[in-house]
Amino acid sequence: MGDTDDAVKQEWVARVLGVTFSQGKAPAANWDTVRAMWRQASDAADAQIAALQAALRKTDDDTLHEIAEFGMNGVTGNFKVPLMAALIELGAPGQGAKALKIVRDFRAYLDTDEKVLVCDENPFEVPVSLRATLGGALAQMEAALAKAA
Amino acid sequence: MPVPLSRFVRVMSGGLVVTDELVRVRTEKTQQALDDLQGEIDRLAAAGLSDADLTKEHADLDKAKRDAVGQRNNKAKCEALEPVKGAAREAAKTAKDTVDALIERDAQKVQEIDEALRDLDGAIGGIGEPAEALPSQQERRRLGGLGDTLKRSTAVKTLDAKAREVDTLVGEIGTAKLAAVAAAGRVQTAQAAEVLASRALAAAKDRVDWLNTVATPNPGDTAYTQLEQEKGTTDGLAASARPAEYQRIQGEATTLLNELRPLEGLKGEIDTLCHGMTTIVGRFVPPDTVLPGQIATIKDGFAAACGTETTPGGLKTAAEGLKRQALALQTTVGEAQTARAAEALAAQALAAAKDRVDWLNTVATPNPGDTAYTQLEQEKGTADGLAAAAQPAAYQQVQGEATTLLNELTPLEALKGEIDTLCQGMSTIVSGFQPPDTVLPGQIATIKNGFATACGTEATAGGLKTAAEGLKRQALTLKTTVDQLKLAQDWKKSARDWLDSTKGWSAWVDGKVKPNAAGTAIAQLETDMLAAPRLAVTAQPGEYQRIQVAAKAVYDDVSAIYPIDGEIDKLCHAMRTIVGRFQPPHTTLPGEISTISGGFVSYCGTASTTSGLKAAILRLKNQALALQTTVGNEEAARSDLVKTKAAVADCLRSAETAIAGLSDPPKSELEGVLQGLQGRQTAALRERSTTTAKRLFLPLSRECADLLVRAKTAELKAKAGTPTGPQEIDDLVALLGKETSNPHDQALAQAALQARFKMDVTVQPGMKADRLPMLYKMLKKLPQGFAGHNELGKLEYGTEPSTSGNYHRKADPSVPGSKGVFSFNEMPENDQAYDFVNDSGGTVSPTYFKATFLHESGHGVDAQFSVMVAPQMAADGFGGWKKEDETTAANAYGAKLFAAFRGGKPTESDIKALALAVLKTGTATKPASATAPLGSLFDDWDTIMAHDMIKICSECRTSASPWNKGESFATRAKALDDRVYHEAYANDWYSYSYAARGATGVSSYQWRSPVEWFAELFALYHTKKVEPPPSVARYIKGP
Repeated sequence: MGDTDDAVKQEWVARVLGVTFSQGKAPAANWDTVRAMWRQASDAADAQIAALQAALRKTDDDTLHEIAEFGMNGVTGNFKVPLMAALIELGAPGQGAKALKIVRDFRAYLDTDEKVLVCDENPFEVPVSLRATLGGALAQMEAALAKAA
Repeated sequence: MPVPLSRFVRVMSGGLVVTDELVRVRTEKTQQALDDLQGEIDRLAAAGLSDADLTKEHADLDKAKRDAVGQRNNKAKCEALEPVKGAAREAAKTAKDTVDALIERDAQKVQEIDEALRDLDGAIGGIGEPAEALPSQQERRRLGGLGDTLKRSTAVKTLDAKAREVDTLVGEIGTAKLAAVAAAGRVQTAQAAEVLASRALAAAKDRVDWLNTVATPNPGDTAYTQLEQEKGTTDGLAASARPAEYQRIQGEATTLLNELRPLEGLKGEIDTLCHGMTTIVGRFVPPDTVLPGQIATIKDGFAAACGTETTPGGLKTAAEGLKRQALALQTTVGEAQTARAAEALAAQALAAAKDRVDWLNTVATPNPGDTAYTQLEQEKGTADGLAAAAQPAAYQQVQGEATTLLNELTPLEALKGEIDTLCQGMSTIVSGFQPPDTVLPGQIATIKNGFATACGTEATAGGLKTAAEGLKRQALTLKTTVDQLKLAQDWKKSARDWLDSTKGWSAWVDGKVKPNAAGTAIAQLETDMLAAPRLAVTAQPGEYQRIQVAAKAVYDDVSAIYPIDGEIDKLCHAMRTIVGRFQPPHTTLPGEISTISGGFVSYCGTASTTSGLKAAILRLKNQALALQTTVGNEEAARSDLVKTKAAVADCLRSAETAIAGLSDPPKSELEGVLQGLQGRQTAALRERSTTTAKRLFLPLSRECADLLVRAKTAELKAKAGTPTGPQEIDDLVALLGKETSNPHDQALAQAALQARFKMDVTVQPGMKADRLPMLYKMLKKLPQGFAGHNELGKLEYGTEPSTSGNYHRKADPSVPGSKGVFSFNEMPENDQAYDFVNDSGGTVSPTYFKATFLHESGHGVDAQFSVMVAPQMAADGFGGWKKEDETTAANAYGAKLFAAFRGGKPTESDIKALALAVLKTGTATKPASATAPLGSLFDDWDTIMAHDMIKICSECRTSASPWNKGESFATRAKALDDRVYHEAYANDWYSYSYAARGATGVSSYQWRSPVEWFAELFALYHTKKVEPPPSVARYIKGP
C-alpha cells in the first residue's frame, strides 16, 4: 500500500466513520546516519576529482599538468573541512544551526561556482557530478538539520 | 554538454590557483629549452664550424626569459614565460636539424678532396709508361699534402669559408688530372697506331703465305719482308714519335695487300675455266688434237709469272692477262661443243625417221618416205665437212627435216592398221549375207589395197599421210552401210521365224472360220516382207523390226485362243450331259449351250484384228462359265426337291399311322390337318417348274413334320400316363441311338422330351438337331426332380443369331406360363472336347456338347431351387459371393492403392475417386493443377497411374473378361479385405472370397458370377463326376 492510498483511506474513515488517526511526534534525528551519508558523498566526489586529475596528467600539455597538480584542490571551496568539523559536533547545543549554515552556503557555492561547473562538464569525458553527488547529500542534510532545529 | 578545453583551462588556472611553485617549474622548463639550444651551438663548434643565426637566437630567448621572470606577479610571470618556453623549445628542435645538416655538408665537402685525388690517381695509373707518368706523380704528392693540411685544421670557421678553401684545392687537383690524361693519351695513340700497322702486316702476310704456296721466290714475299724490318725499327722510338711511322708502314702494308688480294681469285677463275674446258674437250669423240695444249699453257702461266715479275703489281697484271686468254679459248671450245651436239641431234632424228621408213618399205617400195630419207642422209654428209662454226646450222637443218619426216610417217602404221581392221570386220559381216552381196566385197578390197597404191603415186610423205586418212574415212562410211544391212538381215530372220511359227495357228483358225483376222494379218505381213528389200538401206532394219513385232503379236493372240476354245468345248459337253438327264427336260438350257458352242464361228468371224479375236473367245468362255453355274443350280434344286417330296410323303404316312391309334381329342383335329396336307401334296406334285415346286413343298414339309410331332406327342403322352409308360418312352428313345438325322425320328425325340420332361422343343428350318436323343438321355440321368420342372421347360434351336451363343434364360415370373429356356444357336453336334482348368492346373475335359447342355441345366436347377442367392451365396462354401457396385469396388481398390501412398500428398478420398473413374471408363485425366479436383494427386500422377492397382481397375471391367485371366489376376486384384471385385456383366458387379478359389474352384469361368460358379460345378459333376463342395452337393447330386 502506498502513502497516497493510506491518506485516502484515512480521509474516508474520518469522513464517514468520524474516527481520526493520531499523527504522533516526529522522531529525533539520527546524526550518525547524516554523517555517514555525507562521508559517502564526499568520498564519491573525491574519486571523481582523482579520475579527472589522472586524465589531465595523461595529456602532453604543461598547463593541464599544472592544473592537475595544483588547481584541483580548490574546486570544492573551503567548505569540506568546516562541514566535517560541524558534523562531528552535532548533538551539542547550537551546533545544528552552525552546520545548517555551512550546508546552505556549500549548496549555494556548488550551484554558482564556475570551476564546479567546468569539472562536472569537463571536456575529457571523465564522469564528474559534484553538484549532484554533493548537492543531493547536502539537500537531505539541510532537511534533517532544519527539522531538528 | 562538455565545456570547451579553453574554458576549462582558463577557469582551472585562474589567479587564485597560480602558485610560486608553478612559476618555478615553468622557469626551469624554459631554461632547459635554452640549454638544449646552447648544446647544439656547442656541437657545431666542436666540428670546427659556427652559425651566427643560432647564436643570436639563443641570446634573444635568454633575454626574454629574464624579462619574464622579472614580472610583478606569478600570473604575469607565467603568462610571460609560456611563449618564451615554447619558442626556446622550438628553437632547440630546429637548431638540432640545422647543426646536423651543416656537419653533414662539411663532411661531404671534405670528401670532395679525396674523390678528386682518387680521380687523379686513376689518370696517372692510365699513362702506362713510367717515363711519361713521372711529372704527374710529383704533382700528386704536392696536392695530397695540401689536402691533409686542410682536413687537419682546428680553426672554427663558417661552412662557406671552409668550402671555398676546399674548392680551390679541388681545382688544382683537376688541373693535374688533365695533364695525366694527356700523357696517357699520347701512349694510347702510339699503341693504337702499332696495332693498326700490325693488323695490316698480318693481312698482307696471309696473302703472301698463299702466294708462297704457288711459287717462291715471288715479288709479294720480297715486299713483305722489307715492311717487317721497318716495323721493328719504329717499335724502339718514343711514344710521341711512333704514331707517324706506324701509319706509314700500315699504308704500305695495305697497298701490298690490295695488290696480292685479287691474285687468288684470278688464279681460281683461270683454273676453273681451264678445268671446264678440259672436261668438255675430254668428251670430244674423236679427241681434239690442239685444244688440250692451249689450255695447259694458260693454266701454268701464273706460276711462271711469279718468277718473272719483280713487283706485286706486275704479277697482278700478268694474271689478268692469263684470265683473258682463258675466256677467249673457252669461246672456241664452246663452238666446237655446239657443232658436235647438233650433229648428234641430227643423227638421232635421222635414226628415228629411218625406223618408220624401214616399216614403210615393208609395205611398198619405192615410197616417198624412203626417197626423202635418202636425201637427208646426203645433206648430213655435206654438213660433216663444214667448219665447226658453220656446222650447227647445217646439222639443225637436217634435224628439223628429219623430224618433219618422222611426224609424217609415224601415224601411217596406225592408220593402215585401222583401215585393215575395218575392212576385215566388214568382210566378215558381208560374207555372212544371204544372198551374198555382189558389190560390197569389191568396195572393201579397193579401200584395203589403197594404201599400197598410194605409196607408188604420192610424191611426198605428207601426201601419203593425207591419202591414208582419206582411206580411213571411206572405210568408216562403208562400215555404216554394212552395219545397217547386217541389222536388217537380223530383223528379217527373226520376222521370218515368227511368221512361219504363226502359220500353223492361222491354219487352225482357218479351219474354224474363214476369212479371219489372223489369216488376213499374216498375208499382209508376207507382202511387206517382199517389199522391204526395195527400201533404202537405212530404212530396212526398222521395217523388218516392225514386221517381226507384228508377227509375234499375231502369234501370241492366236496361240492363246486355241486352249480357250478347248475349255469352252469341254464346258459345253459337260453341260449337255447334265441337262440331258433333267426330267422333265429343261426348256431353254440346251439352246443356250448350243449358242455358246457355236459362238466361235459367229463372234470371231467378225473380228478385224487378232486381239479382237482373242477378246471374243474370252467373252465366250465367260458366258460358258456363267451358264455352267446356272446348270449346276438347276441340278441342285431338282435334287433337293426330290428329297423333300420323299420326306413329305414319309411324314404324312407316319402321321396317318400315329393318328389312327389316337382317340379324341385330338384325333379328329389331327385327321383334318392330315387331309389338308395331303391335298396340298397332290397339287404340288403336278407342278413342272422346279422353282415353283420348291416353293410349294418347303412349307409343306415343315407342316407335315409338325403334324407328325403333334401326333407322336399325343401318342407318347398317352403312354406316359400309364405305369409303364415312362419306361416305354425311354426304351423307344433308346432305339434312336445318341443322334439321328431322320426327321421322323427327330419328331419322335421331340415328342418324347415333351411327354417325359414337359420340354417344348422348337427347331428352326435349316438348324441341325440330330442329338435330341442324347439330350433326352442326359435329362433322364439327372436326379429325381432336377428335370421336368418349369425352368427346363423349353428348348429352342436357332431362334436367335448364332452370335447369341448357347445359354439358359430364366422364366419370367411376371408373365403367366413363362418357362425357362435353353437357347442353342451355335451348338456343335460333335464330340469335340472342352478343357476345364482349375487354379492348380488340374484339367477335366468333357465334350463341349454335353458340358454346355448340363452347364445350362445347372442354371435351370439354380433358378428352380434358388441356390445362388443372398445370403446363402455369401457363405464360404458357396464361393463367398457378394453383390457389389462401382462405388464399393472403388472403395476397396482405392483403399489398397492409398496404402501405397499413405503419408504422401495424395488424399484417400482423391485416390478412391480416381479408382472410381478408372472403373467406369478405364482411364482418368490428370488434374490441371494441385488445386483442381483430384489435385492432391497432381505431383505424383505418373507414379500413381503406373501402379498395378490402376491397371487392375481397368482390367476388372467386363469388357476385359477378368475371370478368364485366372488365379494370377485374382492374386493381383484381391483388395485389402482379401476379396476380388469385378464387373461380371454390364453394370453388374460382384466380389468373391479369394480364399474360396482354392477351396471350391473347378474352372476359371466359374469365377465370373455366383450362377456361373454353380453351373460349372453342376456340369462337371454330371459329365465327369467331379465332386462338388459339400455345401452345395445336395443341389447337384440330389437330396
